[in-house]
Amino acid sequence: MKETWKIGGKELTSRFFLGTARFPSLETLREAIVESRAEVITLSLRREKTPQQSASFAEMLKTLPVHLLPNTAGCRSAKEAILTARLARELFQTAWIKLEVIGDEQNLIPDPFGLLEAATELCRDGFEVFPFTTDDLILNERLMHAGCKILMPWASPIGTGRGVTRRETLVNLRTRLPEVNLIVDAGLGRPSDAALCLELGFDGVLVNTAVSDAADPVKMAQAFATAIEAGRLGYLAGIMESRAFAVPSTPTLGTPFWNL
Amino acid sequence: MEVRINGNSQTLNGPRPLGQLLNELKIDAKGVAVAVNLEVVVRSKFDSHEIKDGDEIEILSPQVGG
Repeated sequence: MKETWKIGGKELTSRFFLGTARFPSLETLREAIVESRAEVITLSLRREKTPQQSASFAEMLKTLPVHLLPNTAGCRSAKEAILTARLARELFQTAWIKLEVIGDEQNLIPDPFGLLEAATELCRDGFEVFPFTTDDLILNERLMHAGCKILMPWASPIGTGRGVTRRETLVNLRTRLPEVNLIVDAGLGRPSDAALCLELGFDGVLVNTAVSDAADPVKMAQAFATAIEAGRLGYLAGIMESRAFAVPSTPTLGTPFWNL
Repeated sequence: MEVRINGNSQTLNGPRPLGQLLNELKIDAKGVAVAVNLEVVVRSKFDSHEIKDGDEIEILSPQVGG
């Protein structure tokens, strides 16, 4: 029987959250979501491009068995993010919100002060907040104390595909915050990055650009899905400790020609 | 009267309910979220919330996002 886990009041089988931006077509996006076996997808609210485009995307969403995690991407202040979250709740009829308050336009690093302010207000307002955050322990602790039961630290800046650049810092977060759901969000580039996050004990990963920008996004969605399952299985199996010195794997007893 | 809709100025010939404005713009009210002057207008109030001179209206719909 497949393992299930709980996040934000829901029970899931997949630990793969998939972003929906940057895909070459709506059909490719739809196929990628299916192959990913993701049960959570992220999306945004924007001024309508054309009524037809918005309607097509909305119609496609209705055909897929996924939970929607709307984001506040592009918000540069707590005020903007809070308003966007409330609009998202109204439109999507969900209390889930991926909270982004961006502090720098070039590297899209979260603004920790705006993020904490918005998270505090939104938790108070009954939202289930999924804050996109850095790997800073103190910021994450403050978000927890503000009411966040889920944290989404980055591996590296959004869209860079650089993977986990500060492994020990992420490991420290996992060790120090055992009671919250931790989802690594942003910067993953290859399936092995996702496998590593699951091996380290993180509850899941959120991936967008690594899939959408792949030469074959549908195949890449499948690759990530497989890697995430492998990483989780490896974590549950108990990974050996690495050693400073070699230890032979073949028994030494009975080695021929011992005394030559 | 002048209002701004999604950042664009528009001239209307008088106040009207938000629901009526959406209708005139051929926008399906069920598929959008609306803020007027930075305040969310819940869907149940679309037909009672009056759009007035100088209102800033944001009409947002679902789009892709990471």
